[in-house]
Amino acid sequence: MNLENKSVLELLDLLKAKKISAVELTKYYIDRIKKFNYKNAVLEIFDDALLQAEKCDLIINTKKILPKLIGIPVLIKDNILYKGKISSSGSKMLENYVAEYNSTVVQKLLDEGAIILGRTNMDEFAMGGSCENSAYGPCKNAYDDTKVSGGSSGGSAVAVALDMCAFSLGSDTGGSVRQPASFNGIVGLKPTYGRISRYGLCAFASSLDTVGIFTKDVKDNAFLLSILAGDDKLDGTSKKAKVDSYIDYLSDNINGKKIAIIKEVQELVKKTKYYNIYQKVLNYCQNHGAILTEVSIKNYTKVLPVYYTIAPAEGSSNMGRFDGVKYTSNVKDCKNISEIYSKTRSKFLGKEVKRRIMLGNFVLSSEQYSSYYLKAKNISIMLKKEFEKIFMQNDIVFMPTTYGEAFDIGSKTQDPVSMYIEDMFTVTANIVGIPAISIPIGVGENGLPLGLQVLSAELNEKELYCMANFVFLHRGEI
Amino acid sequence: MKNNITLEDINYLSELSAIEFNEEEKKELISQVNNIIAMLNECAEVDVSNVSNETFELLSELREDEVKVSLDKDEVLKNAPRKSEGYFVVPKVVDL
Repeated sequence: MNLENKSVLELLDLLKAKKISAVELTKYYIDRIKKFNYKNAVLEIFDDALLQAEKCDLIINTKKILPKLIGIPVLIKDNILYKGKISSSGSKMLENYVAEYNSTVVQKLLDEGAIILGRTNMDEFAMGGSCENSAYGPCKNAYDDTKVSGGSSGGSAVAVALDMCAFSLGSDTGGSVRQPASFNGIVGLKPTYGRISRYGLCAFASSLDTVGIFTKDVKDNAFLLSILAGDDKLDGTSKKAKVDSYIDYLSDNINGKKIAIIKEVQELVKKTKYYNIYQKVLNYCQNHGAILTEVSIKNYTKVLPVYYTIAPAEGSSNMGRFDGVKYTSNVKDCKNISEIYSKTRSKFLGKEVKRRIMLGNFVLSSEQYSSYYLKAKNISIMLKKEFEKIFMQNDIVFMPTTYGEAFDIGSKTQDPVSMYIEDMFTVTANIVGIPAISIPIGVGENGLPLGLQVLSAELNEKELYCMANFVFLHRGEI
Repeated sequence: MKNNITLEDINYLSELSAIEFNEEEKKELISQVNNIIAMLNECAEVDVSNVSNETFELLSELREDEVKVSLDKDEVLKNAPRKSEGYFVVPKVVDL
């Protein structure tokens, strides 16, 4: 049977009807991973993947009521803990770190019968937007080996785009799921902050971190969020709100839906080659009954400095535990404990992580605290209120995911600010805490994918999936 | 607000961060960090006088502090670079 590019829901039907076996499917994906080994998307295939598949087949053959993801092979980002497996967060610091417990998302996957195939490449500690900061080498774009995969969850995005798994998990702190989804032509969700438990996700910036989902279509994504979302005693910031069966709300009708576009974002998009295709999507939705309104957020462009103050500040604090004593790599023969700390950190952390720790300690230092960190927190509260106002009048906000197609490997590594500017449209959802999804809508002048971002109010993933599904299904006509 | 990071600042931050840099790395850092801070300084022009009292809202509910079984000690120590009899081993910290 041709298994190429099948969605999770299609595969579940085939598995349950015994038209394919979990072993057959797992072998298919392992072959795909090996075939595209040169992309450097997958860091390790777990040696018990086929064993897991055999167990699934036994369950399928003997049980009547089956777990929701029985026999579905999935890849997880290298910062999501899976007990007994290495979880290195793309860093030499955790090169040999073996997870002592399961993250909540991994536990849910296992409970529902999914097969965890392996772990994917990422920017070290999720700090980056190109996957070039991985200590294990960059991951290449699914469509062009000279272009970046995007990041930080580059490996998870390329793995789904090249059909190395049925779906994958990533993490999104400032766009790390949506931007690589956009660069590789797939669907990537950053849920509401706290919608999916962060327990067992290696922390970068705790008030912004989310676990995200990469899929081949919107329907799969909606189906998976219902399984992975929910309150968790082990994560004090997880949301108590009820989890919907999101898939039941997908429809082909957007008549009367209110879409807001932000004037300040429009002004930025107008300067790009993206403008035409973006405009076509807006027109298409309008022609199908959506009501477009332009709104203004005067301080919109401040999202970047706000993000690059808060994220390094929290990151520098979270990186404090990598000390060469408890569970990290370490430098031998140090005279005293401070030497262990500094020699270990200097040797095993990469350039970008060191830069962000320095920056974080700068904005948190007593002399600078109120003019940077406190100020940024205040602006983020202002922005949150602006978005609350927008969502009182509107169902959805549209904006691009990126400024354009994937850029050349190596083109932005020397100039951090040029790399940071790429995050102009994605950091917003993290700062405000709202859900956002990137869906493919076409290709740019280099023939590489472009993504559209659909945002909705906090915990309103229902509305977001509904609109995203409409645009996704009609992208060929736009 | 700060407009110019100097070598002295980099040395201070490197100590706070417990990360060592060589002279060449420091030179590169001065220029890169200065560029980043120039971007962060864009926040200066935003008036936040209306929100200043609300900054530290409670983000999460705190759970009860209960004693319960947690991770297995031997299991956890497997990842430690140096250990002995259920403890992490580090060079002598306190001088007698």
